[in-house]
Amino acid sequence: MEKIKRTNAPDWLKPDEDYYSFDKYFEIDWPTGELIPNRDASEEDQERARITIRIYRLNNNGKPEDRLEELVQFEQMNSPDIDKFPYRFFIKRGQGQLL
Amino acid sequence: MERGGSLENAADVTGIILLDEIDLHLHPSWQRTILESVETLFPNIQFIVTSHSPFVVQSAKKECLIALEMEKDSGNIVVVDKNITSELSYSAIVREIFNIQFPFNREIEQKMDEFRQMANDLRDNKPIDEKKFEKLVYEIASKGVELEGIMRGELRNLEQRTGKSFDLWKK
Repeated sequence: MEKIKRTNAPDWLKPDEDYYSFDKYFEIDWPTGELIPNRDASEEDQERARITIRIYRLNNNGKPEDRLEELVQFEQMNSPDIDKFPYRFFIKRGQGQLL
Repeated sequence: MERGGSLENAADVTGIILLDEIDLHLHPSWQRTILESVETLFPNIQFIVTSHSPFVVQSAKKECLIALEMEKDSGNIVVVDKNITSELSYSAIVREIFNIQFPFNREIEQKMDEFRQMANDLRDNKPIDEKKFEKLVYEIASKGVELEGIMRGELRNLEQRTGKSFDLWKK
């Protein structure tokens, strides 16, 4: 049986690990709601962000539109509880945007 | 159905019909229903249709959708290897299937490109024409509430990345 070779290729991100921070790896494209790699991050970190976006399909199946919709709903509520919303990372960065 | 026959027996008609650009000349509200209408009218006809309408795509059964595109180098028309679905908002269909990334018109897209270029220069600590930058932000933001919201988000991101303040609305 052929051995699987380990490579040093960039790996996808694991948001529950200590090193992870959304802003380190990603930024938001506000016109579309898509997540894009942080252009200030290292090439390797940008590649990790790209891999993560691709594997988890973060910009597919209407997720960007859904994020924008959740932000609109959040902004339209009186005293909304952010913990009851999906995409909290997105809402936190967009809060007050629609004022 | 014989030539000149009545549509009362449309259900008896069998065969395959090719319809090119089924959405042509139809109002968007009709584009949403045209597939259902022809399928109801001719239940024993297999329709093979083409369309460039997100509303037609949205109204199709997802298992019936095939996305095609032209290869840049060869000019060949090929099936796009995408897990496409019609169960999306029309804005998501435009973005994901028709690959139109920017949701506003070309003029605004060009201004946004200009804004992004200046924002990138700021992030790289390169000098920019601040008056021009400010004017550009106002110009985009003043076009409507959606764009005003987008510019708030863009400026907030820029503040976070550069440590500078760009709250132009406070002025």
